[in-house]
Order: sequence, then structure tokens, then C-alpha cells
Amino acid sequence: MLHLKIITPKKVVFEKDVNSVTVPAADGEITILPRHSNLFSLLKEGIIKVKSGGDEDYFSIGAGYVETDGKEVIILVSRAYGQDEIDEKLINEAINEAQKLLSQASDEKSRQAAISMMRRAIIDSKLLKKRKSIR
Amino acid sequence: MNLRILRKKIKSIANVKKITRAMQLVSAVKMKKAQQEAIETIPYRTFLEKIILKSMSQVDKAHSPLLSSKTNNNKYLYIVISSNKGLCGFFNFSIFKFINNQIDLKNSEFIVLGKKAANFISKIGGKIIADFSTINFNNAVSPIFTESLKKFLIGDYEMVFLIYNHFISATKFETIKTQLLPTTISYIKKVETKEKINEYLIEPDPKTVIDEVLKNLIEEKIRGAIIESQAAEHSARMLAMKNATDNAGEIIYNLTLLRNKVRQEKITNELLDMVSAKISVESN
Repeated sequence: MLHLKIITPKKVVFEKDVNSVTVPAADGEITILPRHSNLFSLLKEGIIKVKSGGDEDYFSIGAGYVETDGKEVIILVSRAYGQDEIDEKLINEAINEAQKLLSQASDEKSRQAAISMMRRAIIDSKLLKKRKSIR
Repeated sequence: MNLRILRKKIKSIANVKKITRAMQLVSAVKMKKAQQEAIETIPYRTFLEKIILKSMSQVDKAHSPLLSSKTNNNKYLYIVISSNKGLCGFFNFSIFKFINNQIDLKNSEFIVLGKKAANFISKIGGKIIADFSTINFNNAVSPIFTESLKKFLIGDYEMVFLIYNHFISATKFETIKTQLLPTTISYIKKVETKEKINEYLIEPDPKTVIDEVLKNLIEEKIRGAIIESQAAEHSARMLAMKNATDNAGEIIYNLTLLRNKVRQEKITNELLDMVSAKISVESN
């Protein structure tokens, strides 16, 4: 068993014993199983998959880090939303908003902001699709 | 003293008491919220520090420009966190005193958060390079971080410090100065020497990682300081308002006593008048 902690600057989002964790590392997706060798890696924005027993949990995360010593996995990220906290309507709104901003953006800075907003929203919507396919 | 003036005074002080009492209650709620937030940010920072410590064994000081000063021109940047509103006891005063006693204004520049500190520093002749008082404090974290990091990296300052009120308990806070840049890790080592440092696989490579992690830690330090300072502000205001409420109660008590005395005196005088009038009528 792995002891998993998902922590954001605001609070501890998730803490539980799990079977495996799949995270989007900087060089590609990695799955951490018990007795994994000591690892510290950067994470990209993406989706974390957590398996515990027969259950699967998904989290949409911002960039951050993962650290493990084979017994414990600590994931530090700028944001993390569980599958139940995401609202489809809000995401679609966010995507539309980002597209609008993108078309209006005049300088590089606002363009970047709009792109990152869009990326976040798209990750969230991917998470939502995953959840639906399970059910 | 006039009876009518006394009654008016009692009434107005009772009103003041009501207001201070309401402010006390509001601050108590806000403080609890801020305190909760402050506690919830702790795990992120402690784990970040742990990770830095673990990966530090494989990293050289030269890997990150954040670990050593570019210059030694004795110029310092201070980030001062105070409050926008007054009526919070010696919360702001404690910071002023600290600045006055410990900081040499000549080779210091300031980034301020909170109107009170901005006013004070400009009054004593300090140089303010940025003032973030007007925006929401929580949104100020990233501009403060970017600004101070940029100036540090181009070698404008030898060191960057944070000055803020550290929240200790609901009734206690302490003004402290912490070094932000260059980042020191010695204090972490003291706590963690017992933990064995294993060989770590660091991806993509220690150099990229350490820079990233250190920057994150600095940003979190600023955020933590702001949240703590807010908790301290609310607790200071709560205490100040509690004292004000208590004092108003005492004043009302004394004034009521005085009012009753004056009233009785008046009645006695009236009785005396009547009696003396009666005597003078009867003697005629």
C-alpha cells in the first residue's frame, strides 16, 4: 500500500492509502506502485489517476511536484480538483471565455494568460469525459 | 454637572460600546477564518522544505542563482506587510517600532503592503519602490514575488527580507524579519538531521528542479506571511475592541453613579426649598 497525500498551497486535498498513482510527469506519464524507487519529479498540468481497491479517483491538477520513497507519495501542486468538484457548465463557459480573450488579445502577455486558462479548462473537461466513460 | 448632559453622555457611550462590541465579534470570526487558512497552508510549505532538503544533497550552490547574492553592495530590500485599516491596537505600531529600531534607511528600499506602513515609511523618509495596498492582499503574492526576484537577480540588492507580524496565538503576535533571498536552507537542516538522506532519482535533472522548487518555496513564504499577518491583524483588532468595550462599560458605570448622585442632589435641593419656603411662610 502507498500512502498518498495531495497538497495544494490552500489545503490538503486528499490523504489515503492507495494501490497506485498515475501522474503526468515532465517527461511523460508515470505510474507509481508500492516499493517504487526514490523519485522526485516535476509535474505538468494534467490528470492524476488514483487506484485504491476497486475504486478509481481522478484529480485535475496544475503544475507541481511529486515525491516518493516507495511507501509514501507526496504530490505538491498549485491546484487540484476532484472529479466531484468540477461543473461541466462552468468549464464550457471557461473555454468560451478563453477563446474570446484569445481572439481579442493584443499583446503577448494577455495571449499567454488566455492560453493557460484554456489549457486548464480543457484538462478539466477531459477529466469529466473520463468520469462519464466509467459510469 | 448637568443632569441632562450626563444622560446624553451615557447614551452616546452606550452607542459606542455597541459598535466596538460588534467590531469585536466580526474580528473574532475573521480571525478564526484567517487562522484556519494559515494552518492549512503549513503542510505545503513543510513538504516543500523537506523535498528541498532531500534533493539538496545532490545539488551544488552554483546550480541556482537564488542561493547566493550577486553583489555585496549592502543594499537591502524589505517587504513590509501591515494593514490598510486602523483600530487594531499596536499591530501596525509594532511594525513601525521594528523598522525604526532595526533598519538603516540609507541603504534600504521597501515594498509595502498596507496603507499604514506606506504612510509611516514615507514620513520617516524611506524609499518605497512599490505599494500593493490597494489590491486584495492575496492577489499581491505573485507581483511581489516577481518584482523582488527580478531586482534581486539583476543585482540591485544584496538581500531581500520580509517584515511581518507572525501569528502566535489568538492573543499574541510578534514582529519578525525573515530572509527571503538568497534562500538559506541551514535552518531546515537543523530540524531534519535525524532523517537519513537517501539517494534520489530527480527528474528531469536536479538543476531545473531546484530552481523551480526554490522559487515556489519563496512564493509560498510570501503567501504564508501575508495570511499570518492577516490573522494577527484580526486578533489584534479583536483584542483592541474588547478593551474598548470593557472601558466603555466602566465609563457607563461611573457616569450612571454620577447621574444618580446628581439626581438625588437635585431632589434634596428641591425638598430643602420646599421646607424652607414652608418655614418662612409659617413664621410670617
